[in-house]
Amino acid sequence: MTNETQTTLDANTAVLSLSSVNKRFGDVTAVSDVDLDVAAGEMLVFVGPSGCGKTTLLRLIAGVETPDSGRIALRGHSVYGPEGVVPPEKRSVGLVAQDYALFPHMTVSANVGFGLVKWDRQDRTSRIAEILDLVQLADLAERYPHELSGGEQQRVTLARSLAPDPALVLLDEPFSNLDQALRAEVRSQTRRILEESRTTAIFVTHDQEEAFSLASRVAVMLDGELRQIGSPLDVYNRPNSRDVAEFIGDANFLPGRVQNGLVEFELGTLPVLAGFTGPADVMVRAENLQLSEENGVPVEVLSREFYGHDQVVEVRLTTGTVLKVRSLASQEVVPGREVRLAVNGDLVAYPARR
Amino acid sequence: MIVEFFTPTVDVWRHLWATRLPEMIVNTLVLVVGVGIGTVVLGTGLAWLVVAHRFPGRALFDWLLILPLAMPTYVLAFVFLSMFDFAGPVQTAARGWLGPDVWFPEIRSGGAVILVMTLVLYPYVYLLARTAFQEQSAVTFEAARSLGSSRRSAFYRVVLPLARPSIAAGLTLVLMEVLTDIGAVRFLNFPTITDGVFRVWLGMGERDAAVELAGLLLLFVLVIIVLERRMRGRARYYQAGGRDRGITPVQLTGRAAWLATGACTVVIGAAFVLPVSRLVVWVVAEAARGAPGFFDSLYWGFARNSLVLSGAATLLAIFVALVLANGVRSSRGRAVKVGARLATMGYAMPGAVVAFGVLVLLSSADNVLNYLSQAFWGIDVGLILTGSAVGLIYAYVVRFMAVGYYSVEASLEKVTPSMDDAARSLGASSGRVLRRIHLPLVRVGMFTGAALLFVDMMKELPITLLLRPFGYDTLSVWVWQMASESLWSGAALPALTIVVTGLIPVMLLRHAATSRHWTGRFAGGSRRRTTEPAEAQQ
Repeated sequence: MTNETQTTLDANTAVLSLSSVNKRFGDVTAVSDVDLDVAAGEMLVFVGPSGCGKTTLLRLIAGVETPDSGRIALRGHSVYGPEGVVPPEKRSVGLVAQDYALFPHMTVSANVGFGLVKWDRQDRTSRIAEILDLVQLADLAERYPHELSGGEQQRVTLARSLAPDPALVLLDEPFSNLDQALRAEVRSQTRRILEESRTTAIFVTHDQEEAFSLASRVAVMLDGELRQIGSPLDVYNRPNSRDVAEFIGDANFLPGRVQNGLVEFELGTLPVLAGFTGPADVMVRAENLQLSEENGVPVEVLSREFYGHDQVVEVRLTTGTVLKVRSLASQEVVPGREVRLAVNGDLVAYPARR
Repeated sequence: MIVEFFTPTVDVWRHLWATRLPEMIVNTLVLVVGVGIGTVVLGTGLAWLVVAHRFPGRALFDWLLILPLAMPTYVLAFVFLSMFDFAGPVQTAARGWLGPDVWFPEIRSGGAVILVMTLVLYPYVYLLARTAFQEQSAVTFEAARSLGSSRRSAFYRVVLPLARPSIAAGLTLVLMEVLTDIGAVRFLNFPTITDGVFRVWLGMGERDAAVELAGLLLLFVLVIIVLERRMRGRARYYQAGGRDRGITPVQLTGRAAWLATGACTVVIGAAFVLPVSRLVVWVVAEAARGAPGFFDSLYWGFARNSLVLSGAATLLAIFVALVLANGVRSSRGRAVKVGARLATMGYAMPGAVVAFGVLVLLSSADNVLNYLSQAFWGIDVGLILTGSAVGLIYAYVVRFMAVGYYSVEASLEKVTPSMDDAARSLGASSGRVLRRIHLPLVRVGMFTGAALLFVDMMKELPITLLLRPFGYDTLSVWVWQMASESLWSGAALPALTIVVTGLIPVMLLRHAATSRHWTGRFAGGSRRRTTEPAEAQQ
């Protein structure tokens, strides 16, 4: 019962609700039968590989693209459905584009004030100041976009979309134009700004790390379908299908057999999360495998990639199966040597693919 | 020229000031403002209509709308004059229908000149605005929409301001043509400064005063250029990055769709179809009447002169353009770039100004030559430069250099320095690199440039009138002379020849506009590929 209310919210409390939304481009199905409810204050992240339709879904919500069928409602009012289509300017949805789309001919404050045309002068000025304070750019108000750094431009774009107090802000790969060093910092700033302004936000990204660190809920999209929605922890630890498991994180798959909550496979007979009995593919996360001198089955070290904070080691079982193991940087590993391998954590199994 | 300008010939000026000068200045201003507003409204309006909307015939109008580019102002002016004058068919018919007292707007007026020039010159603005609109990233437009702007208000607040440099570039070209024009203002009796230059020069024989008047014209040009620069200020107009997707067009339905189609039809009809039909009817009537027409040796003589002059000047201009563009490309120095910029300035100069500049320069060269030949051989060679077609060709090259230069430069840009390096490292000599890599890549741009140059020179009137050697008349001069004496049907054949020849580069331009040759050069926009929505979604 409680589970039910978590995934499908009452239409009145949902800021956004989609039902059976479809969109095709010629022969390509970009969005297929998507149902989704987003609650106020949520930070939902669509994550999926390139071309999975997540950006299209975002554009359908913003209204800059029109679905082929389905319903979209914002704050309980239909914006797409049999009653008609509400144009983007009437939806009260903020859009933060990948390349920011700042208006190059306007100053920062004019950009931020763009959506406030109907406000009176005084309210507008104070709103611009308030928002610029929020994004900590008050002293750059009279600059032009090209006079700002990438991170600052990103914040101006965010400020611009927040200024009219939208029902929902949509962010399309908002950090992809920033260099790696800046990204984490801008990401946490963005999160702070959205939380402080209690804004409901939907992000789109192909970067899992980004998705997990930002989201209150993650929605995994594959081939135009919404395959799993849940907390980051849930999606990472308990992918609901093998496709999702393959997309999320570093996973090894081993053939096995499920019976009575146990799985019998190359690494032994161990407790497993599976709702079926029979032949199975067992997912073992690379970081849930542990190398040592004494515990587990014997393996041969093939190679290693050293990342600094950790390392990924390829090992071969005596049966010939090759597995990836993520281990601490401090662990000494020598290719060619024989060590032992043990499982340390939850296992998830899926019905075997034939 | 500058020297001349600062040593005024007071007498003539006093006379001018007392008579026509104030009127000429006011008229020039009226034209600049009127045609400026007219072309900007018509050009940007049509461009936005075609780029962002779907309506019956849109794809066809997309390029039909640039056809008036082939129509010289002086041709449209005399065709309009013949049709709408008191004795013309339109007024005669109107009187027949509605009685003799029916009121009709005066065709010999500023309003008519503005109309004629707007109809012929709007394609400059249209072409550049169209490119600018097409290149604009949809993301910016959509950002404006999501911030509460309707399509209409997003157009005024974002799309239009971003296209401003392009529109301004188009407008600058238009205004240069306006300041240069001698045909339309003379036929429709609306004396401007250019008209004054011609009257003072050809009528009064006051060379110095004419040069000073031309200097006044130059002042107009400078003001226009400076104003445009000023207005831009600190703002930027290009978008960073830019997604591979243009603004999605909306489907117009019902009345709106028919209005759109109707508007395009009216413009094309008035600026091109109608006048061309009129010319054709005249030519046919003349032929039926037994006039020599095509077989007239006079016609062929003029055509040959036009061909020789424009052809020689085109070849020279393309050659200089190649040398300049190559120089700019291979040298990192500032001097060459500034030199190239200077060499292409001629396009921003009214024809009369160029003509005088060339005249002053060449007559001093003539003097030097004469002095030298006197000193060495004791013979007087006469005015070999100013008295021959050399001066005319030189002036053509100066005036239209930019057209050739931008065409060549745009295509040379496709040849990256690393291509040279790659070819050389594969063992190609520099000659082979030029032959196998550069020429094939530059060829299209070169031909487009040459075609544009040729037609621009062929329809050129003011410089030709001022600098042509005695008795060396071209097609444009013939049109001018016939139309000046209201011999419409006699002017029809050469006029039609010019228009039809002018269609060749317009067709090439149509390709250039889609493959972005030289039109984009003035706008300085970013390059953006257009892809299908399905591809663009990520």
